[in-house]
This record gives sequence, C-alpha cells and structure tokens, in this order.
Amino acid sequence: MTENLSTLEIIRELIRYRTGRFMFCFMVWALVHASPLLFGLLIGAVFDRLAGSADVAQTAWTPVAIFAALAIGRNGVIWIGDIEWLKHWNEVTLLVQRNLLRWLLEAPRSRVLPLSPGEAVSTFRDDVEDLLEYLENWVDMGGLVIFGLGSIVIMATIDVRLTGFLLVPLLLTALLTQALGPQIRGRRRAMREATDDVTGFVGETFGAVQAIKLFRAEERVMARFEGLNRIRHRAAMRDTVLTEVLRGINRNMSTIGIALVLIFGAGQLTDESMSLGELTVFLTYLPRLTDYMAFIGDIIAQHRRTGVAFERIRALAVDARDDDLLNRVPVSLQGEVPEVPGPKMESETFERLSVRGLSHRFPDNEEGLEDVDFEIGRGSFTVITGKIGSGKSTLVRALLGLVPATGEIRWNGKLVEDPASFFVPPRSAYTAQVPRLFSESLADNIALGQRATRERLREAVQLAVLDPDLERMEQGLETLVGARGVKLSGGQVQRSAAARMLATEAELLVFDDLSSALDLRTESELWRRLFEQRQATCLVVSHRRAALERADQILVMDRGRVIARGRLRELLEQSALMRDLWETGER
Amino acid sequence: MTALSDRVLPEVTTPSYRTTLTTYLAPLRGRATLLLMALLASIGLQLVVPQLLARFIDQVGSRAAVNGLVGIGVAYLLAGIVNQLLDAFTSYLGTDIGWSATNRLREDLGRHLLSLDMGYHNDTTPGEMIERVDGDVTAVSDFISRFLVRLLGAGVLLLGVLVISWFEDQVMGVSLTVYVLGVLGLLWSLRNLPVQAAEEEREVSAVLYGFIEERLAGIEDIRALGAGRFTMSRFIPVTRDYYRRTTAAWRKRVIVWVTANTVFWAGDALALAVGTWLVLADSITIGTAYLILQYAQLVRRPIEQVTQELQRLQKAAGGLIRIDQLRRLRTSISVGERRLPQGPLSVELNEVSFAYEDRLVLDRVSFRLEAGTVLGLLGRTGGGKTTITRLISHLYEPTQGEVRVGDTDLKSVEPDSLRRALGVVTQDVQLFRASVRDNLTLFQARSDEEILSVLDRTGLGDWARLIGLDTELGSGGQGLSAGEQQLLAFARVFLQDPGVVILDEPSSRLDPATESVLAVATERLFAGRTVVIIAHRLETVRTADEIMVVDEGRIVEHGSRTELAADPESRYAALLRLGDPRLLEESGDL
Repeated sequence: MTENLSTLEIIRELIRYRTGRFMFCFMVWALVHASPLLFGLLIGAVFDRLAGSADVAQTAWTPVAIFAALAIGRNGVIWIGDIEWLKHWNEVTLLVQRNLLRWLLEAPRSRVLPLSPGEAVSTFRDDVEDLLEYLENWVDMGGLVIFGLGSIVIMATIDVRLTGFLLVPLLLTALLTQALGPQIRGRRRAMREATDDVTGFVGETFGAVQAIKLFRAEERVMARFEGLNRIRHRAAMRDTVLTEVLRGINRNMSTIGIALVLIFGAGQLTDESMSLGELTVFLTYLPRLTDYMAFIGDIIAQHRRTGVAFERIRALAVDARDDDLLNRVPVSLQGEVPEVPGPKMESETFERLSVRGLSHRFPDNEEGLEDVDFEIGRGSFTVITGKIGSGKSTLVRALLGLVPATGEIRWNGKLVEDPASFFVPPRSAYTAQVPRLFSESLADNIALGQRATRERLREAVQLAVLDPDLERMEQGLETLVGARGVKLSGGQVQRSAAARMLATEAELLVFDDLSSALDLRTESELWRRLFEQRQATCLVVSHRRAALERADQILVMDRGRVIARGRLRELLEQSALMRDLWETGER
Repeated sequence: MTALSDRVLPEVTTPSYRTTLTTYLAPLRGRATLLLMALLASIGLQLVVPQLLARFIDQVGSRAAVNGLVGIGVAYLLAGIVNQLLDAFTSYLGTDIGWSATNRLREDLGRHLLSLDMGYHNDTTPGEMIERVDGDVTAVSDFISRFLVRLLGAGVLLLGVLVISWFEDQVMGVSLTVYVLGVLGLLWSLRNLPVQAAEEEREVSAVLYGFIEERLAGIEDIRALGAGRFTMSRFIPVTRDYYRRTTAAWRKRVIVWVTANTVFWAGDALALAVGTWLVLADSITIGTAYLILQYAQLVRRPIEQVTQELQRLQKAAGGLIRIDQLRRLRTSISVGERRLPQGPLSVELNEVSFAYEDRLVLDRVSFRLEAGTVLGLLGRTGGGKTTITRLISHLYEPTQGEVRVGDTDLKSVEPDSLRRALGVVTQDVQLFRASVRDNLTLFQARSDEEILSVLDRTGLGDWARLIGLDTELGSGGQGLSAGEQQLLAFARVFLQDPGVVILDEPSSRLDPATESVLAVATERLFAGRTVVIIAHRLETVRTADEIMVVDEGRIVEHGSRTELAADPESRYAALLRLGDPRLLEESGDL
C-alpha cells in the first residue's frame, strides 16, 4: 500500500488533469476578482475631481467613462471564465466518477459495497462535488488574495492607523464565524436528522396505512408525528437563528466598519490629510473586503470537508490506491465509443474444480462459512441445500469471489489466485438469488456485452423457458425492461437472468435458488431443457425436489458447514436434516 | 391490487386556497403583525443610512466642525447595530411563524390522509405521500415567508428608494425609476432560463446517477458475468450526454447571471454619470451624488428578489392548490354506532359486488360463515380473494350488497369495536423504524408481561428476551427474516385477541424450520375464532372446515372440506392431486 495523498496533493492531481485550462481559468478569475481595486480608485477619482475647482470638476467625466468601459468589459471576461470553468468542473467530476465506478466493477479481488447502492450514489454525487468545490476555491483564490492585499495596501497608504484599526473587527468576525463553524454544522445536522425523522415517519406511516387502519392506530401514530414535528420545529429554530445572526453580523460588519471610518476619520477629513475621494475608497473597499474575509473562512472549512469527502470515496473503493482513483486517462467525450473485446477463449476445457477449507466471516457476527471442502467434476450436477441462513448463498458467493474468503480453490488442479477475476465467462457464469437487470433492452440485458449472435440469444432464451414470455411481448427481445427490470414480473426477471447466464456458454453454471420466482413446472422444464441440450456443469442452491432428485451430489449445509454429502438416496437414510428438508420441501 | 386510474380530484379555485392560508395564519396574527412592523422598521433604516453618509460628505465639503461629523458617524454606528438586532428578530419570528403554521397543516393533512380509503392509498406510493405531507407544505411555508418577508420587503424597499429619489431631485428620480423598471423588465423576460436550466440539470443527473445506482445494485451480476468493461463502455454515452447537456444548461444560467451583473455595474456607471452631471449643473451636492451611487447599489438585491420570488410564488401556489384538493377528498367508508360483541362471530356476504371505477372485481358474491369455523380461500391471483378479505375487514365498502359480521351490517358498526373484534395478518408485514414493543402494540401502552406472554405463544419469546423489547427495528423490517416478520404480525393479532381473524398466508419461501414454528402459532391463532385464510399451500387448509374457490370475481366452489376432497369432480380435489396451489396461481402470472 502506498501512502494516502493529502488533501492538497489530491487537488494538485486534479489540476494536472488539464493544467492549461485550469491556469487559464485561474488567470481570468484573478482578473475578475481583483478588478474592484480599480473600481474603487475610479470612484475616488470621480469624487475628488467633483470636490475640486470648477475646471477640475469638468475632468470627472474621464474616470466615469473608464469605469463604464471596465464594468462592461469585466462581464465579457466573466462569461468566458464561467463557461471554461464549467467544462473543467464537469470533466473532472466525470473523471473521478469513472475511475471509481471502474474500480468497483473491474478491479481484481472481491468487492462488497460497504454501503447501500443509494448511499454509494451519494458518494458519487456529493463527495465528488465537494472535491470540485474545493478546486473551485483554488481558482478564485488568486483574485481574492490580490484584492485583499491590494486593498489593504491602498487603504494603508491613505491612513495606516485607520486601516489597522479597521482590520481588527473584520478579523474578529472572521474568527467568530470560524469558531462557530462546528456549532453551525452541528445544528444543521440536527435539523437534517429531525427532517429525516419526519419524512421517514411519514413514509413508513403511509407504507403501513393498512396496518394502521386495521389496528385503529391513527391517533397514536399522529401523536408520534406531532412529537417529531415539535422536535423539528425546535431544531429549525436553533439552526436558522444561529445562521441568520451570523449572516447578519457578516453583512452588518461593513456598516460598523464604515461607521468607524466616519468617526475616526472625521479629524483627518477636516484637516484635509484625507480627501473625499480617499474616503469613498474606504467606503467601496470595506464591504467587499468583509465578504472576502468570510470567504477565506469558507475555504478553510471546505478544505476540511474535502478531506472527509475523499475519505468516504476511499472507503467506498475499499482497497484502491489514490492513484487508481485520480488516474488521469482522459474521459472520452468525442469520437467512436471503443469496442469491448469479448471474453478470452479458454484453451483448456474444464475437468475438475476442487475446493479446500473455504471459509468466510461476516464482519458483524452473522453466521459465515467454515471450512468447506468439495469437488465438482465435468458435467456433474451439484445441489447445495439447507435451512435459511445456513450459508448456501455465502458458499457460492465465496467460491466466485463475490465476498472475500480464505481457502484453496483449484481449477483443473491449478491454484486460483483471485477467484473474483477468475470465475467469469467463459469459465463460469452466475445467477443471483435476486438477479438484477438494467434499464436497457432485453437483448442487451441477456447479451451483456458478449458479442452473442441472434442465434445464441434465441437458444439461451429457449433454454431459460423465457420463450413463452417473449411471444407475449410486442417488441420481443427489443423490449425495454425499465429501471432494474420493473416492467417484467419477478419470474420473468429470473428467467431473463438465467438466459443471460446461458448466453455466455460458460463451462460452470452457478444458480442461487431459482425457486423464489419460478413455479415448479417452469423450474423442472428449465432443468429438462438444460440437460437435453447442453452438457454443462451445474452448481445449484435449491431445496426443491426437482433439483434434489437430479443431483449427482448434494451438499447439506447447517450453520456454515457442510454436515452431509452424497446422493439423495444415501442422504435420506443418513441425515435427519435432509429428511426434514425433503419432507417439508415442495414437490 | 389493481390501481385506480386517474383519480378525480375536486376542482379548486384560487379563493378557496386562500381559506387554507388564512385558516393557518389567523391564529398567528399577533406574531405576524409584529414581524411586519420589524420588517418595515428595518427597511426604513436601510433607506436612512445612505442619507447619513450623504450628509457626512456634504458637511466635509462645507468644512463643518469635527464634532458634527463624529455625531453622524455615531448615528451610523447605532443604525448598524439596530439593524443587526432587527435582522435577528425578524429571522427568529419568521422561522417560528412558518413552522408553527405549517406543522399544524402537516398534522391536519396527515390525519386527513390517513382517514381516506385504501383505494386512495393503493394508488399512491409512500414517496408521494412524503411529497404531499412534507414537500407541498414546505412549499407553502416558503410561500408564506417569501411572500410576506422577501417579496413584500423588497417591493417596499424599492418603492422607498424611488420616492426618496424623487424628493431629492427630479432628474435623479427619473433616472432611478427608469433604471429600476428597465432592469426588472429585462430580468423578468429572462426568468424562465434558470428554471429550464434547473429542469434539464435535474433530468440529466437523474440519468447519470440512475445509471450508477442501477449498476452498483447489480455489482455482483456484473462482476460474476465479467461484464465490467462492457458496463464501462455503456457509461461513455451517458457521460457524454451529461457533459453536453449540463454545459448547455449552464450557458442559460450564465446568460442570466452575466446580464444581471452587467446591468448592475452599468447601473453604478450610470449613477456616477448622473451624479457628475447634476453636480456640474449645480443642482445637487456631492453628498447627494454619492447617495445616487448608494441607492443604485441598494436596489440590486430587491430587484433580484422580486424576479426570483415571483417565479417561486407560482410553484408555492401549486403546492397550496394540491393541498386544498386533498383536503376536499372524503372517505366513502360509512361508520355507525353499533358495537360488536367479543368472541367468535359469524361472517356473511350478501349479494356483494365490488368495482374499481369501471372494472368489476366481485360479482354478486354471497356466502355465510358460522361463528368459530375456519374457511380456506383458494383461487388465482386477481380472482378476488384479497378483495373479499378487505371487504370483511371494512377497508373497502361494497358497491352493492352488504357485508355482515356478527349479523350486523358493517356500515352501522362503531369502528373501534370492529377493530377489537377483527384481526388481520397481511402477507407483507408493515413495520416501523421503532422499538419491538411499538411495532407490536402499534404505539399502544401495554405491559411487558402481556407482550412477552403473547410472544411466547408465537414462538418469538426467546428472541424478544434476547434482543430486548426496546431494540429499534430497522425500517421495512431490516434484520428480521420473513418468518420472524410473519410471527410478529401474529403477535400483533394475539395482543388484540379478536373473535374473527383474517390471514393472508405468506407466499414467499420460508425455510422448513420456520414453517413448523409458524404452523404451531397458526394452530393456536385459529383456536376458538372465526377464520378466513387465503392459503398458498395446501398444508395450511388441511385443518379448515370449509373451502371456497374464487375465480374472476365469483365463487366457483364452496363446501365442507371433507366433502370436496371426497368428490373427484371438485376443483379442490384436483388441486390436491396437483399438490401445489401455486400452480393454480402462477398460471395467471405468465
């Protein structure tokens, strides 16, 4: 493992993605942010000239004209800077997202999402956005520093003492804002939690309307709702009041500053050591300087937030190095989408899979898998059975490298180093207990990037007993299945997933329990077709008689261990658990 | 369950939603008035402060004494501090008023929606309900705060600036008025651009993040099928589209932003020019010239607010109209005063028809179930089984005919007594993110002994003692197996101890061990009660007294179980030969 990068190094890497464009944006925004220095001086010049003799007053038009020209020109610059910056923003966002997604989907070794997909998406969106916001701060920084230092120098040349005096309340406000930062964030968080509690409860309530009505719990539920509302009201008050007061202080600080200039500059103005124009310079700079001070505070907070955000990105990517996540291979925005090469053909045919001491521990004390051994020969049919929670799914997922496991797996006698990248087509294919489809056409879902011919798709569809469903679909294989396949019934999703697996023509087929969505008749039909038309090797999780009767080998699991193995007939004699499962199992 | 198509919502006219608004604001009249006064005072101060500065400049010009200048400075300081206090006060009051009014609205609306028919709820998702009860109401609170505080405040401030300018100097008045109206008009004409941009951005990010979420949810499928590279190549067109369309959307935003910025800076230039011109013409003092510049800057924020807030006002009004429509919906379930006795009761349907909109779900169904008998309901999905049970539990009211429990028409039954007399175990168990206790009692006060003894009867006693009654369950029953959830639902009904039980058996797969625990609990639940059970396995109805097969909204077979089993012609006997009632159900599923 290499060292993790610091927040600043991360920003440096992101800048390097397109250094030229970043520098361009940096310069443009430096110009934009620093230009008010000139505007202040021009306003000063106008009022100094107006206060002068009649001849001098006439020359006030010159600074007015320059002011107008600069004001318009500045906005042209803003236009260019803004569009260029957005391009950079979008490209870098997509770069980080692409790297992260690629790592999750393609990198070797087992990868279990530490978060729900919904939560993971918020890392893709919000945490990446935090990186970009901080990058944006760096674009703005140059101009802000120039203006800040420039205005202080100009004011100091007018009156050093007064300037020093003014900086004190400005700094104090900035420090106060900084100091209250955690407080504000805490209250904001409390408010968000209170809101989540309210909306969560509303969602649950209306998800459980029937139960509420049946148990006449309406009033009791509403009482709880009112309680949550009161908590939210209080949280909102605490949140809004603090933020608003602080915002008010920031906004009014320039008023206070100006008041100080008026009070303590009165003397200099009367003895003419300070001119009217110089007074207006102070008046123009102060509000902006206050804003910028607050901004510096924001940048510090953003620096911290960015560190936390990147920590979350690292956590999602589990074992990725920062280099993988910040990989600068450009995102493809133009031209042909590169073709995906099909799976490499295995030269060696499958003969034997042996598994020794396969174990897996769940992080939170759930029952895992302990020391499982088994062998599968070419063309055999192996059924894993057992009660719910006995580790059947875990066993196949550990074998395929979908969850991290220890133990020794040999394919034709050769040790498999990384099951996750080894157990893919054309060696093996898998249908999960709850398979996922994606919102594309049925054909794309089944082919899933294999350059499968129409012929092969048809065959897979027929094998998976999906053909009767297809006949009922107007658009056949071109039917769009909707997000996660919602437009299909549960059985259709499962049969499509089976077809997807069969289209790979893999040597070893792994099914994790088809029974939840396939009725008995369809499941028997699937096995029948599979045996007649292919000599595939199958590893199947099931408790249905149709599967058990066909098995060359049954592994009976209990609490993460294989407690009995053999053919059905032997097991029914030897194993009480097997007899139990058989008796209560569906025919 | 079939959804109602296009529910008809009552038409709502503008004046009627004003009633909603006034209903909830009226009790807060005092605080609202106070808020308004504070707001006006703050606006007044904002108008006066530039005047102080102008006077200061003029006094410098006329070589006045230092004391006078310091005096103005001090006044300026005080104005700043008072304004600060007013700001804090208005934001406190505004927030308080907003939350007080809208929380009441939320609660009334929630209560009202809960009282609506299941027909309404079947057609809406919990997400929609969150949007109605929280989203729309929050929009209304925005309406209140924005309309009262921002829009009104901004309007008054603009008006104040213009009126004062006219008093100062006519030319100044004309120029500022023309400027303000011109900018308002210009920005108003561009008002739709940011809205369009926001909509487009929402759309494209929905596509991008939808893609990512979907693939992450299917991460195992993708990895185990070696489809990672393929998925990444599918990601490319999605990202290109995102890039192209967000850039286009952003351009629209930038147009508005740059235009506003340009006119505001041009405003400063204009103010300088007008000031210079009037000073040179000797019609105003230098202080007033500076006043023009200050006022030109002061009007920026209210101009932006007026254009933005008017826009948002329409959206808030939309929420208000929807709330009002919902408040006019009424439940069609009628209730009466008659109380049902405890103990097993008879159940009877008399010529009952039920239709969703135009679709007839039940067609003149009649049967009678004597007190204490167990009826097994069989039939295909969508045949009308669930509708029959929902009619008996009075979640639906028949379109025609009557449903009688304990020989009393449900329309005349007092609701509390019905709920005590009748218990229902549904297929999907609805759970709250709340303690085990609250999930069992549905927030009712019950003693621990009572709860634990009931849990013992359902076989969950050990489990509950192990994790404790106060342990919070995850939402949607996270951490509970399907079997445990079902047992929990049994326990709810045991706690209620009703004379009539309706059970919709889970069709999802349970492991054999759980099933045997469930079987014991079911037997206990049936003892001494009238039971209607929708069965998904024949095991369950082996103990039933009567069997009824329902298809296409009619009873196609009803009789004693033993007789039907003995009759080789009966559908029940045919099912027994097939061995799995799900074969019957799923033939409709393809």
